[in-house]
Amino acid sequence: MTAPPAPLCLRCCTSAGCLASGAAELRQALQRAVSCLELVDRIEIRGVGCLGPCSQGALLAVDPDGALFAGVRAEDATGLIAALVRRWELEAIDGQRRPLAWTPGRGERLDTSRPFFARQRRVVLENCGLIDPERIEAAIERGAYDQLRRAVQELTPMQVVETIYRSGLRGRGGAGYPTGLKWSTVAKMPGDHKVVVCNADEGDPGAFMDRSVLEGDPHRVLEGMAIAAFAVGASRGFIYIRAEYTLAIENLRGAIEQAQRHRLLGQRLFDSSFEFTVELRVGAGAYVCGEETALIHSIEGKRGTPRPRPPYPAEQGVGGLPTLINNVETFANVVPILREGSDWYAAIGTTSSKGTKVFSLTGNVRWGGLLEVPMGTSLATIVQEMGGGAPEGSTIKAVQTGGPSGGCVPASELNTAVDYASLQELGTIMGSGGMVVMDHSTNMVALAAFFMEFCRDESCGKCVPCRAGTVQLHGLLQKHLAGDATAADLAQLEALCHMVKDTSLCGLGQSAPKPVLSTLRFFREEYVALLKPVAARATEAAP
Amino acid sequence: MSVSTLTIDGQAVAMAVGATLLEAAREVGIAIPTLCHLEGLSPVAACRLCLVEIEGSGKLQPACITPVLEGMVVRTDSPTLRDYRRTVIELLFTEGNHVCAVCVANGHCELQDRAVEVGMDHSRLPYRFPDRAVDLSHQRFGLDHNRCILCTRCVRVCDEVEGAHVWDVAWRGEHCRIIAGLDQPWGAVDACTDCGKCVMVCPTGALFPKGDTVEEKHEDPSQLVALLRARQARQGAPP
Amino acid sequence: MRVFNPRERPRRRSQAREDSEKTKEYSEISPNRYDFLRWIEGCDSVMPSAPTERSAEASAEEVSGFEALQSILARHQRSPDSLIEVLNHAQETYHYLSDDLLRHVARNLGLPLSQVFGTASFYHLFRFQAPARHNCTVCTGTACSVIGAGRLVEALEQELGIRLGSSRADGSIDLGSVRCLGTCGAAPLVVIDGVVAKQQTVASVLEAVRSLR
Repeated sequence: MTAPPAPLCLRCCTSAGCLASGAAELRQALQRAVSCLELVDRIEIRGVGCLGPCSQGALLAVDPDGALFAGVRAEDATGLIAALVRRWELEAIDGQRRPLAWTPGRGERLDTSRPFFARQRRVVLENCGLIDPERIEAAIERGAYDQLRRAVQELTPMQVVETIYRSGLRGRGGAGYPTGLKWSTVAKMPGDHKVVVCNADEGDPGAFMDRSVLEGDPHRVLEGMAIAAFAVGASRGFIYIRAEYTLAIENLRGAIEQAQRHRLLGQRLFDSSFEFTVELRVGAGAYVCGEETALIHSIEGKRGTPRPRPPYPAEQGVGGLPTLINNVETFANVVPILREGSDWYAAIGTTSSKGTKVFSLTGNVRWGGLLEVPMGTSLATIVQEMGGGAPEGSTIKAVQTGGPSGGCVPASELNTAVDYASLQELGTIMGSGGMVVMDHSTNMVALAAFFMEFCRDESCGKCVPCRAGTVQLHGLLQKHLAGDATAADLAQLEALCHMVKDTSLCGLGQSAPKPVLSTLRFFREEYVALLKPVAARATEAAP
Repeated sequence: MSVSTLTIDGQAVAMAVGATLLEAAREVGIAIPTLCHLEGLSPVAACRLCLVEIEGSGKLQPACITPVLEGMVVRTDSPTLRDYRRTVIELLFTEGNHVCAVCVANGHCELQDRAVEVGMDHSRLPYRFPDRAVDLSHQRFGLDHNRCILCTRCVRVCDEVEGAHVWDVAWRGEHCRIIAGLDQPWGAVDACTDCGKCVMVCPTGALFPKGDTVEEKHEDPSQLVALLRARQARQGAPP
Repeated sequence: MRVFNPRERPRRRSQAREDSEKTKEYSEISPNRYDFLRWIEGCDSVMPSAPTERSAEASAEEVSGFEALQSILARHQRSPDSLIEVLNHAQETYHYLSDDLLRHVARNLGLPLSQVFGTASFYHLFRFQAPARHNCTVCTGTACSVIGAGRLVEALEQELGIRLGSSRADGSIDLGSVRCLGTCGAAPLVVIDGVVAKQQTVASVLEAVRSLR
C-alpha cells in the first residue's frame, strides 16, 4: 500500500435512544470485525453521545466523510468494514479519494444538509456526538476544563459572574430566571460554605435534553458547575439525577472519578486554594423533586416536599447553606460563554432570550430527536421544516411544550418565535424543552386528563389545593370524557383550575391546571362537544 | 427593636420586624382563618386558608409565614379569597369522611368552625368516600384516619416538642397518610411516650382519647403555648 | 476537611445501655442542620451536642445483619442525609425494603422509624414487598401515550389478568408503568426485565410477555 489512508473513525451513538435500537450490539459487532481484520490501529470505533434524530436509530457516523447512517444493525457491521477496506484498496491503486459507497441493509444514509441538521446551531451540544463520553482525554482534547483553569488562574469570581450576567443567559429549567442574577445573589451571601447543585431531575415526560447532554458530554456540565462554584464561592457540589437515567448516571460517575484523578475536581485545583468536590445524588422517582426546595429536601435525605419561599435556596438551601441551583443545560452553557465572551453569546437569540435552546422533538412527527436552535426560531421551523411535519396522511393539530406544567400551541400559532415571553403569552411555557407534536386524531380533553392524572400522581400531598384539587379536576375531566358533564361541570372545572393555580404552594400545583386552561383556550369546542345534549341536561338541573 | 408599619384591610398597624402577617392581623383584631398553623409549632403553610392579597404582588401569600414589610398593603378578605377559602374547606370535606353528627369533636372541631366561618353549608364538589382505617391499638388514644386532614400538627408536636417523632407522613399525594413507626399500629410503637400532645393539638376528631364519645373531645390546642412558656421559663431562656 | 461522624462523639456506655431498654425503636439523633454544619465546619464545639445515646445492641446488629450495607454506610459516615442513597443501594442489593432492613437503616443513620418509612414511601421506586420473578414496565410518558401506550397497557392487563401497578398472585410477573424514560424517539417503549424494547406493538409485547411464562 502506498498512500497512507485517512484516519477513519466510526462514531456509534450509545445514548439511551439508540441503545433501545441495538446500538450496543452494533458497536460490539464493529469492534469484533475490526479486531478480526487487525485494523484496530486504523479504524477507531468510538462510542459517542446523541447524534440527533433518535427516531431513526441506531445511528452511526463515519469520519472523515461526515456520513451519517440511520437504522444500522449489528449484521451491517462486516459489510461496512469491507466497504471501507475496498475503498482503501482502490485509493491505493490510483490515489484518488472516493466517497463511501455503502448503505446499511435496512437503513439509509441520511442527508446531513437537510434542515434537521442544517438549521441547528450547536453550542451546548458542540461536543455531543463527537467525543467519547467515557474518556476524559477526549473531552480535554476538545478543550474541556480550559475555561475553569482560566477562571481560577486569571479571573476573579466577580468577573465570572459579570460575564454570565452580561451574556443574558436565563435558566433553562423552565422558569427562565436570569442566571447571572442568581449567581450574584449567592456570591453575595456571607459565609465560607456554599453549595452548588445541578438539577438533573428531568421529569417532564417527553423531554430528554438533559439526559442527552449528560450522556454525551458529562465534563461540560462538571466544568460549568466548577466555574459556578468558583464564581459564587462554593466548595461542594451535588448533581441530583433521576434514577431512570441509568446510562447518564454511569457516565457521570465515571466522569467525576476521572476528573478527580486528573486533579480537575477536588482540592487545591490548578495550584490555587480553590477546591470543589461533586457528589452524585440519585433520586428515587418523584417528579416534584425538580422543584428547587423539594430537590433540596431530597438531597438531605428527606421526603421531597416543597417548602414556601422565602427563604430562597440562595439564602438557605442544602443543609441551611447558601445554595446555587441550576439546570443541566444552564451549566452546559457556561463554558462557551466564558470561552467566546458574553457579547458573542448575547448576539444569538432574541432581545429577551439569549443563546440557543436544546429541544427534544417527539410525538407525531417524522424526524424526532434532539436538536439545538437559536432562541427565536419559530415553532413552524422546528416542527414542520426540521421535524418534517406529521407523518404521511395526518396533519399537525398542536404542539405541547413545557410538559405537565405547560400548554398546547395550536397549529394556527406555529409561526410564533420560540422564546420565554412569546410562549408565556400563548399560555404555555418554555419548560425544559420537551416538544410533543400531536396530530389531528388527538383528543385534547383526553390529553388534558392525561396531564392532570400525571400531576395527581406526582403531587407531594403537602398542600390541600394540589393534593385534593388535582383529584377533583381529574374527576371532572373524566366526567367530560364519559359524556356525563353539564355546562355547570365545565364552569366548575374552569373555576377549580383557577383556584388550584392561585392557591397551591409550589410550582407543580400552580401549573397543574395549565394544560386544561390552555386546551380550554384553544380547543374549547372539544369540551363543549362532550357535554350532555341540551334535552338531557334540562331534566337534570345543575345542583 | 425596629418596627414596620403596614396596612391590613385599611387599618394601620405597627409590628416588630420578623412578625408575620397573621400576627399583625390578630393584633388589630382581624381574624384570618387557619388550620395547619398552631402557635408553638413550626409553620408549614400547607392548608392555604390564610392566603391574603398583597398589593403589588401577583401571587397570594400565606399570612402564617409571610413577614411584615414596611408599607405593605394587605387585604385579608375579597370575593375571590372567600371563594378560594370555601373551596379549600370543600376539598378537605370531600377528601375524607367527615360526619360531624357522630364525631367526638363535634362542636369543638376547627374544621367545622372554619366551614361555618366560610359559609360552607354543602359541598359543590362530589364526596370521594375514601376507604380509611381506624387505629385503636394504643391503650389511651385512638386515631381515625377518616377525620384526618393532614395538617401535620401531630407530626410536628411529637418531633419538635416531645422529641419522640412517633408520627410522620407516608406515601404521597392523595395517598398521603399519617403513620406511626414503620407504618405500625400506634400501640406497637415503643417510641411513643403516651404524652398525648398529638391528641391535644389535633384540630379535628382524628386523634382522640379513648372513651370519648360524640361531642366529648374537649382538648385545647392553645395549651401548647402555655406548656412551651413554662419550659422556657424553667430553662431561664428569654420568653 | 473533617468528616462528620456522629459515632465519634463521646458516649456514656452505661447510660446508653439503660436508654436502649426504653428506646429500642429509634435513636434520638435528629437529622438537623447543626449536624450538617458541624460536619462541614469540622468543629464539634460550635453547637451544643445533641443527645447521642445509641443502643449498644444496635452495634451488635450492625455487624450481624445486612453486611452488604456496611460500605455505603461508612462511605456516607452514617450521616442522616444519606438516607435515600442508602435505601437505593439497599434495594439494589436486597431487591426490596423489608421492615428489618428499614429498621437496620434507621438505627445506623440515627433516624426515627416513621421518618425512614415516610421518606421511603414517598418515592415511587422503593418497594416494600419482594418483586415478582419478571417485570414488565410500560412507559406512559407523553410521547409514548400519544403514540399508543394505552393500547399496550390494555392488552397486557387483559393478557396477564392484572391491573397496571400490580403483580400476578403466583409471583410470576409485575406489571408497572414509568413516567418517561427520556427515550421518546423510540416510542412507545416497554421495559421487560430491565431491557428497553422500542416501538412496541400489541403483538410484540404480548409475544415478549408470553415467552417469559
